Amino acid sequence: MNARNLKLLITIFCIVLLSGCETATVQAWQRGKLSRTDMAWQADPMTSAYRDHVYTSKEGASGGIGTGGGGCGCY
Amino acid sequence: MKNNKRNPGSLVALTGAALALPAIAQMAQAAEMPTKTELGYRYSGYQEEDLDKGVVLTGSNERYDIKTHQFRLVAPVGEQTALSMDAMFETMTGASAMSVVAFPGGDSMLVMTGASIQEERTDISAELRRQGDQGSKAVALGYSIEDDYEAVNGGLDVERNSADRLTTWSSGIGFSYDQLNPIQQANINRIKSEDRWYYNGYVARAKVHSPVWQSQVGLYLGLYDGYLDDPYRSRDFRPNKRQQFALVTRSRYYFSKLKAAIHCDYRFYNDDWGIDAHTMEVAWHQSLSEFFRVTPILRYYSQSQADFYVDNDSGLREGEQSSDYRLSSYGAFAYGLGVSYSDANYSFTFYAEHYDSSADYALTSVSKANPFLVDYTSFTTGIDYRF
Repeated sequence: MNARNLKLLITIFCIVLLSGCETATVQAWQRGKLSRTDMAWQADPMTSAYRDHVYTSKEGASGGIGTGGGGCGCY
Repeated sequence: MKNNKRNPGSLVALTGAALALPAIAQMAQAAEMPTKTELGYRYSGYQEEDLDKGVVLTGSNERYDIKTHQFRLVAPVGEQTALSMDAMFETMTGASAMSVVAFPGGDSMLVMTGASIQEERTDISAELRRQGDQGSKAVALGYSIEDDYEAVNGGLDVERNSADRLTTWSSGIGFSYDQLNPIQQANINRIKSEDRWYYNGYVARAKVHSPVWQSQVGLYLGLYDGYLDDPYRSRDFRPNKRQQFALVTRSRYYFSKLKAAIHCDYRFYNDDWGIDAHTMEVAWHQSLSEFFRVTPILRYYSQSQADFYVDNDSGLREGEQSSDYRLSSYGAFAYGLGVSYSDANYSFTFYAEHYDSSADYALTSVSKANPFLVDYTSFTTGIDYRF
């Protein structure tokens, strides 16, 4: 990774990190919708794992979104 | 392992040996202590579109057909510990590319393997997670085997909640040790045995913004060290290290009046092979009733080419080189549709997807399009039982 890309990424990361600082208080009894399965990071973990496996095998990029990458011959 | 006709173009090079390796460090999936034991099963079919016979110099034009069975068990073990176990069995048939041959005038043709391969792969993993007042910590191990490939992997991760439980920090580290023992073929000088290590780690922060909105952002690092060539391609010489970097953001928002949730994911990826990639996915989870849900998904992917990518194989060329399409510059759209039913004890799910790739979809300029990109159609169906 060159220095320009690294700076850009760190800047984006910091902006996103700070973007949630204004969050209002959400009480426990207000979290019903957040705990719905369709609000989970992976609504169907097994199907997501399968899809990520296919993408990792067929694309040049891997890692990050619900996948570990590696452990295979897929480069 | 069953080989109707052992073929030099092993499927390992294209299909990979691990099912997303649960033991490897992953972005946190909002681990919660399960209150019930859950059993899950998925059956998936994957079919690549055949190549035009006009671009195949020798071998078969039939690409991969893969059947996959997945099993999962998630169960509480005591009051604060959860065990999850995954197993996957995969059967693959089809042909793979061995070489790209260029002809005067600029046309390229493929040297493919024969089609009559049947190969199987098994992947198992387990995770033990301990839940505490402020978060959780987990350890995971996995193992994967096929005829010419064996891998072990492991990982640790930690999650910590803020006092108001609106913020969750998570981090993890993982490793994989892979050993390759390529199938030998007469008159071809192929490596006997090689290995490689993979190390990765991530740090992520999940944030609750409102009663209907939460997001996550994470940094992901990976390092391969060892043999990274494709041993079944005629001239494939890659660096023996690869450093990966990914920035991932995810957002979940619930529209109460519409009874729908929108998922927006983005990943920027960069590695020291010269590949930059952008992945965007939007999913709309529409509840039709208390039990039924339909989910259309649109995914876009674009990558630049690796520094050592070449559009044909030549014995006259020295140094690092590979004609693998996955190292070329291209883009792809995936269109998916899911339908699910879920009650207190059972869930039934079906998902189908079509993947369409083209150099025309790439965000970056493409000097010469790789004509052998993959298009495929896949489906997954399954059941979950909770008790």
